Amino acid sequence: MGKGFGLGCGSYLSGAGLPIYWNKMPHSGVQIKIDRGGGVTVFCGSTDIGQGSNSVLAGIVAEELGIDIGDIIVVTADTDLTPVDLGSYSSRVTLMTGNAAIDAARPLREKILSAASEVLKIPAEKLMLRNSSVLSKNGSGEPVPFVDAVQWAETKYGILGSVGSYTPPSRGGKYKGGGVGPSPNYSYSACVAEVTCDPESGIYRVDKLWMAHDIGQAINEKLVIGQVEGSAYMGLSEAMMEEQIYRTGKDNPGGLHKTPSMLDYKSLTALDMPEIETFLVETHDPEGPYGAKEAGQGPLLPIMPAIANAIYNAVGVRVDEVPITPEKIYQGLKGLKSGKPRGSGVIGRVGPNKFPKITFPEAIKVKSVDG
Amino acid sequence: MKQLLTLNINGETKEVWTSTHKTLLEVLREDLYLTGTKHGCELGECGACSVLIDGEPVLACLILPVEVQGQEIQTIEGLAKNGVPHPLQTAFAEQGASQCGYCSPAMLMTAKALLEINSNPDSNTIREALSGTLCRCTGYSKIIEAVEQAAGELAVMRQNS
Amino acid sequence: MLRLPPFEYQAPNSIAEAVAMKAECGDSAMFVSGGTDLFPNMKRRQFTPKILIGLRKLSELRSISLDDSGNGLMIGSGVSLSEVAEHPEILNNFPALAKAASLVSAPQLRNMGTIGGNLCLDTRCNYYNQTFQWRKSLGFCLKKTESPMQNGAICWVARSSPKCLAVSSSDCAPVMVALDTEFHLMNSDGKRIVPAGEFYKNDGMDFLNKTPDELLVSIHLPFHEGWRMNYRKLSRRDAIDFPVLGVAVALRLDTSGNCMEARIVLGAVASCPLRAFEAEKLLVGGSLTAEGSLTRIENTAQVAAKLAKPMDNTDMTLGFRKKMVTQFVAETIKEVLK
Ligand code: FES
Ligand code: FES
Repeated sequence: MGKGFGLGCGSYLSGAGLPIYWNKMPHSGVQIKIDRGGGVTVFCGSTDIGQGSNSVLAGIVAEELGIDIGDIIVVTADTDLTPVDLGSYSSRVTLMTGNAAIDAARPLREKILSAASEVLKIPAEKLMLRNSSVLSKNGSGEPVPFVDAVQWAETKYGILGSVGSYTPPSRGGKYKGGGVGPSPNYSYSACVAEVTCDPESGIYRVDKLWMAHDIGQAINEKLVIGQVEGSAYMGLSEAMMEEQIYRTGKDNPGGLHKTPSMLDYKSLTALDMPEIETFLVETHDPEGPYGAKEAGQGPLLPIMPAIANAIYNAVGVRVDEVPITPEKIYQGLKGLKSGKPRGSGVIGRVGPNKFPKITFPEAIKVKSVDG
Repeated sequence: MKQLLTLNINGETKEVWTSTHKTLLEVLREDLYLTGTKHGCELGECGACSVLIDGEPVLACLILPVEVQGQEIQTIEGLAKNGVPHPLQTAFAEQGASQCGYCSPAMLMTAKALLEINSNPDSNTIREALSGTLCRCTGYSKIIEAVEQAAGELAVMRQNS
Repeated sequence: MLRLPPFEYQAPNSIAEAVAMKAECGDSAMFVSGGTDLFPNMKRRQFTPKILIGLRKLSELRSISLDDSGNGLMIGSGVSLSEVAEHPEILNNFPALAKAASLVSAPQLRNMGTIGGNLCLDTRCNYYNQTFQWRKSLGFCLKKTESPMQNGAICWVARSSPKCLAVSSSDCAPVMVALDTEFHLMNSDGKRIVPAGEFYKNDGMDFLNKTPDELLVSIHLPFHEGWRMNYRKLSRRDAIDFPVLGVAVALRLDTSGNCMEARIVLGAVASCPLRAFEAEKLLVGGSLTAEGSLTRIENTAQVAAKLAKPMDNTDMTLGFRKKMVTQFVAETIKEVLK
């Protein structure tokens, strides 16, 4: 049995710098209401599809107001009730909604602290909101319950509410195509894969994955790990077996999907999925909320090269396309044995043998912003 | 053709007047409004519809309710007792074993069946027991850890009782 | 949603009643036991029976017992695949069968699916096991279906083929053939016993030596004193998938390791399990553990592989599946000898 290890790296964007429907308005909006009983409700158009964006939203507002995450009511995804958020795609929600949430929460914090400062006769800069109370930063005096401070603030300022929004900074060049790809910030991932591959058949299993992901700042560590591991699953499934194939050619002119069911379109079961060890790397990106970046898609990317490299390391076959199937590895093994370069033109390599024909326009030359 | 069925679901006897050719999954969701059990492929290929019949995990999308009258049907709605989540549910929440949640009812019910016959399964046994249900979100690791955690908690509960 | 077509449901109280019902209703009725093969096909409209005769409640079909002479086991056709996989008598005496049953699909499906159902599994083809709409848009294929509006005249896998090339995809069938099992069938006229080797026919449409009114009641497995056996399965995933190749090997060895009898059966590479008679002969006589026997095993595997004619109608490329036959046969023999 051939044992092999492979390393892969990837980088991904935290949302696109430009909205899908071009305009200059914010990409995300958050509205917060605090009632005189101390109840905090956060409204936002972002959609939690299981990635945990509601928790991120509540977590950030809780952090800003010094209250417990469980004390916050989150209302999302209902355009009748909430300000706009462009949606759960492009790994954008934590960054954009998160920044909008901070933008909405900070003025409320200031109001509460300034009202408390008047009552307590302590300068607002010396106070903070923590543990659902107003505390003095040096630890002196008795903590004042959050709800009392909220009532002082409502007395002083009237009903407490605020809105916040986020528009990505304008990045990218002013030339054609310059707006494609720029993002407020970028995540980085690395994967090491261990495989065992049969040098006769090319049948292999992935024994373990190690994933490291630069998240900037984990706002909710558990959810980030969930996103990283879920991405690893999808990436591995794509690396090993998932493929859209259509029946084409004269025998099947209809172009029907070849694998139109969950049985035919294979994705990994619990028995095929290896153990994953996940490492979060925190680098505090200045553009992210508390330095945070995306986690939902980036970790998919390093999996394919890591598996390809591990297979090469194990049996010497280079598969240059996904999925990396036993059938393809077997082709490569045959090539290695016979010493004959097959289709791809290189001994032991399997994959497309030429770059698709594309007529490229003249290259646009741009000077680097760094000179 | 319609008929009156008497089904024992989560310890309650339910009578339902419905078409003979509806599957258990359809009757649970459409006639009894027990929508916790999910439908995915409807062909026995994904496991999303798993429920327990006499304690064994089966696929509700391929079962005729008329054939399971008199047997004990357990669905996700019956897992928490008197508003107290089952240790598996707590463990799933704590471990982040549920993301979109679509596989969760099936994962929880199959895990429950496993822990009833094997109180201390190793991770391979858990993988095998859950292998009939696809999860698109989690990569399974957290689900397996949650089942291990719940097994530990159930053992403590048994000792204390 | 994929819903079942409407039907009337009948629940007989005995085998005799079940076959009588079938005799009375004729072609408009079908037997159903686990439902894991029939119901998906009904939802996709491969079958639209007017009446279903449900066998689930028949305890007669659900027992595993010693045969009258005590020389073998009788397994009721309604025994679940989980029970076959875990039953101590089967694990002890027919480990290859227990293993094959344990490799069918996934736990939930094995709890429902029956051994009888797996042995009578409809042959499969990725042009046939698709939804009504998918098949309609391509044009229906040769494989017979119940409704006259669905009868196509073409085999999409091999357009010039006069017969259907759908694949026998049962994990347990190759093992049954290797173990000289007998299938006990019953209809309203009486009983019939068919050896497993004669039960399967290499025709994707007409693949069983069983008339539609006959019910597979039980399977007789003669004890195999002195035999060793194994089953190996090739599929893309470790759960849920049908085999794209199955290899069952059973060998009778004397005390000094000489092979006295051999069975090699290939599954999922034709419309029926294929017994590799020529290859078996190469194994019989002489030791299989002595030096040089490795080459003999390899040769045997190559001869067995010649039988396999996989078509491009399952997962994995046919060239690869064909190549794998040699390796899987050799490996299964070696595992048996271990
Ligand atoms: S819905 Fe029942 S197995 Fe997919
Ligand atoms: S949590 Fe989304 S499918 Fe499992």
